[in-house]
Amino acid sequence: MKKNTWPMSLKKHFLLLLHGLFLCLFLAGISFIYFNENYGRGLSWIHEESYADTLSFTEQLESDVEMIFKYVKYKDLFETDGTLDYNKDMVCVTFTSGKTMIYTLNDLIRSAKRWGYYLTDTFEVAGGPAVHERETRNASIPLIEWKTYDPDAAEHYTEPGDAYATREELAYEVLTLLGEYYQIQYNYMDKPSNLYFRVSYMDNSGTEQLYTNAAQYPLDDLKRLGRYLYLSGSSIIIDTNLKHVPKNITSELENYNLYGNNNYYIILGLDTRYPNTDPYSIAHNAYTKVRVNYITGLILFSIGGAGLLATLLLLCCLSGYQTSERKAVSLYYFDRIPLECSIFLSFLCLWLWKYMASRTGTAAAQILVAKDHQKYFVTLSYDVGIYLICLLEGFSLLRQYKAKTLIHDSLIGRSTRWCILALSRTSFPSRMTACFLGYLGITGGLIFTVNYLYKNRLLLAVSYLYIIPAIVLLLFQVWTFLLLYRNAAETEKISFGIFKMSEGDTSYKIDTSGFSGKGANLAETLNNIGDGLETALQEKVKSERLKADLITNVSHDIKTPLTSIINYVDLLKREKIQDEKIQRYLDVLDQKSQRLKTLTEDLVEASKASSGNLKLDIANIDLVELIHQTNGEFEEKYGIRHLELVASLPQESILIAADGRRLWRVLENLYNNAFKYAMEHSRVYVDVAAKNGFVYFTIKNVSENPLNINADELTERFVRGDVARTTEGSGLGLSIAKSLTLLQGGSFELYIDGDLFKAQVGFPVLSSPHSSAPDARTLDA
Amino acid sequence: MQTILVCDDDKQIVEAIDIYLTGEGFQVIKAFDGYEALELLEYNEVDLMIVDVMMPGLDGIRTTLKVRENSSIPIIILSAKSEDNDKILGLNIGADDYITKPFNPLELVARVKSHIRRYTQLGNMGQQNVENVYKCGGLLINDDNKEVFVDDEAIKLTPIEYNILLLLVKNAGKVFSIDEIYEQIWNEEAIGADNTVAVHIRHIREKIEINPREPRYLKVVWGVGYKIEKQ
Repeated sequence: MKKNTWPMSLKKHFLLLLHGLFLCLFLAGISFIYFNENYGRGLSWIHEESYADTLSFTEQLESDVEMIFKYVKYKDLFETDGTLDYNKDMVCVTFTSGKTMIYTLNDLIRSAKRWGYYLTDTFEVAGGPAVHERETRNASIPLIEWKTYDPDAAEHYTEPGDAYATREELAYEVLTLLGEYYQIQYNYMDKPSNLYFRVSYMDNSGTEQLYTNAAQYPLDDLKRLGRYLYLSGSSIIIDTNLKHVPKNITSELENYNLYGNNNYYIILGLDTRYPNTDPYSIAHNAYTKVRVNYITGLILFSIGGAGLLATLLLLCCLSGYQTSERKAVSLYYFDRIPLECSIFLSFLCLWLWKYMASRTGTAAAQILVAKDHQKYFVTLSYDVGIYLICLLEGFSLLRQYKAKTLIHDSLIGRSTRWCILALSRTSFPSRMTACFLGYLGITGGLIFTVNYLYKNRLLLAVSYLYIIPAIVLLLFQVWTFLLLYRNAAETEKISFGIFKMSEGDTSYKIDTSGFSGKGANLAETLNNIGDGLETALQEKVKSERLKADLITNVSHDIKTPLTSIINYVDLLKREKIQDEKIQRYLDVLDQKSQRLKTLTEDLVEASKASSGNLKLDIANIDLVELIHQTNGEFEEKYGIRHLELVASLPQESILIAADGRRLWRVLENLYNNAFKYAMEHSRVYVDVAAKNGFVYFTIKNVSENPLNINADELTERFVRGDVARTTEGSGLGLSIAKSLTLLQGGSFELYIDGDLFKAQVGFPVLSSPHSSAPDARTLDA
Repeated sequence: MQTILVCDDDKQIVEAIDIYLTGEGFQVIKAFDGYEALELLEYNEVDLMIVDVMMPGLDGIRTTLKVRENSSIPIIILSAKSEDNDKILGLNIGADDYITKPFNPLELVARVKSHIRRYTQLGNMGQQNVENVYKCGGLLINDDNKEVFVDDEAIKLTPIEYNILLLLVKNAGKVFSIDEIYEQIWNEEAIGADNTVAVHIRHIREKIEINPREPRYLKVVWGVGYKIEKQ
């Protein structure tokens, strides 16, 4: 946690330094591995293999096997009872003169010395005479009778010259052989070796010929030394723990088979502790060193790689933040470069670096590194350069991403915003035009591309390339169709919504989910209009109800004092005061208080009827019966004003759906109206007639006073013919009648023609007069 | 002498009712709110109660409910509320009658008398259940001697009126159309029946009802016919 107390910039610089260090480690690791001779062999060899398993070891062993069998050969050739015998016969020749000579080893060595030959310290033949001093072949070249070192030689002489050799040549041959003998003697016998061998041939009588540098070791000890190889003449199976068997061993063994039987064997033993200095120990040490180098390289590679990743991740987390709160993201000046430019710049840098690496990299490498490593060095520095450029660009993008300016500040983002801004400022038709032109352009371009690629398909490397723009074209068309389809669906929904709202369903809402653009705006606006209408409607209903309630409550408050007025006027009248003046006054009081009573009652009824705030009890009733009943109620009353009721009613009953009590109230008001305003001694005509599925009740009378008023105004509240103001009644009768009729679903019309007053109430006739379906419709709006 | 409890928060109205009822020979106890009325009921023998609805403290509806817990005296609600709902409520909770303000003093007196008669006399007359005697609430028809009584008061009807009433009372609750009545009474087929029946009905109503516009017995079912309310 100590790290967290560091300032952010220090932390980041430290991390960057670490990153660099790890990069160096990583590169060093790679170099170690790359330059190791085991590069490219994978990893398994490190723990599975030792020097004795390598091919170079096998090669060494093969040459040693060859040497061993040479030793087998030379031992008999040069030695007598285990020591070098210079008096051994080597070659027998016959000169052209017929003289036969047998040369001993000593003879030949001496003549070799005479010719100037000698053995070096590695037992190679060196020296020799000048060319002109050589014997001429034709002078005295003896015929070779036999050679002890090459017993079958005579059979090999295929050409005439082969059977002849000068003494110089013979001496050289023997000296070479002797050198080899010394070499083996020195390397395997005199010097301590890590390789022990024993070759044994046994004749049929049981006499063993043994060739070995490990006479003191029994057979099993040799097998225990580390690596061994045992091959016996009686078996074809090689008993060994070597990975690779020397290829020449079986043939060599058989070649030197002295007695032509199977009683022989060879055993090779290698002391893998390598206690003695010889080619094996040297090669083993070199091999071990190479392995250690490789492992070091691997470790460096792993540590460097892990460190690189870890620091990279940490840097990714911290990049862009100035404080440890990790809120504000600060950008460098080059982070302000738009996305596309920055990527382009990066590619430019990469290209430049590549160019430099290819042009001047090799030249620079020639100054710094050896020729073998130049190519590797160039590749390495090229890759490191690419990595650094990518790192720089990547972190720049990361910071922009964290600051959320990656797309926003990019050229595409800017131009898109500019386009949207420019488009949104233009009118919808011009946007439409722009879209259509864009559509035409894209479609045309794609068709052209498809056409071009199709026509030239045989010239192109990929002949089916035209399929790609074709698919794009298809997808574009589908996309366009989907857009149009969605637009149409939106329009459909919106027009349905408008239709619904115009029908009066103001609470209808268009489901705007999935809408976009102009459609969404439109639908939203329409929903708002609907809301507004709904609110207005509710407000209206509410205010109507409030008004009705207010009128009802006020009328209750008026009625209580009115009761006292009426009662006490009545009580006064009962006092039977003789004074006529007082009687007259009391009459006025009585009349006016009664009128006030009617007025308050009618006011409540009118307000309720017009606001629809009352309960209707709709049933099937007979209009004709109702008119008869009404006529019965009014006949005598009309008699008071000498009015004649002339009724013209159909015989059969006519059923309508209405609230009987309310309809009676309508008729009562109309009859009362006629009673009050008809001219005395006139006739009041009442008739009922069915027409076009409707039944109309009409009442006609001649007004006593001129009707200087519009028919419509008669049903307006408190509106009456001026002259009639002094008479009883509230002036609400016709208004109540109209409201009640409309509430029950009927029609109410007034006609004025001169002094003729005519009221008509219409109701739809029920189709089946006998079906009585009393449905209590509640109109409690 | 019957005692009537009048309860209203408006003193002048109580006073006026007192004058009318006292003039008719009733003893009147006055109360000005529901609690007072309940208290007075406890200590007085009361034959009928007139109660206002809108009163401070205990209102008329709750007062009626309280009274009905242990008394069956006639209760007349007198209220400025004239809507159907108010009337239905009042009658449903146990009131016997509902009179709206401003009221006709004569009607009020008539109704008070009617209720008292029914409560005190008809109630203990028992079921005479003589043949040819038809009873419907306060309405009684003795077919043997062609007499009609409303709340024990003899009513004079013309023969046709009598027959119509008898038909309706015999079939109390059933609605008769004008044509049906005509055919039953005149024994003729009704061809374009005129207003005769309706006029007769109106006459009957004026004779047997206290307020013909708001009949208790002979009801008009507008657009259908007439009926005697089954009680």
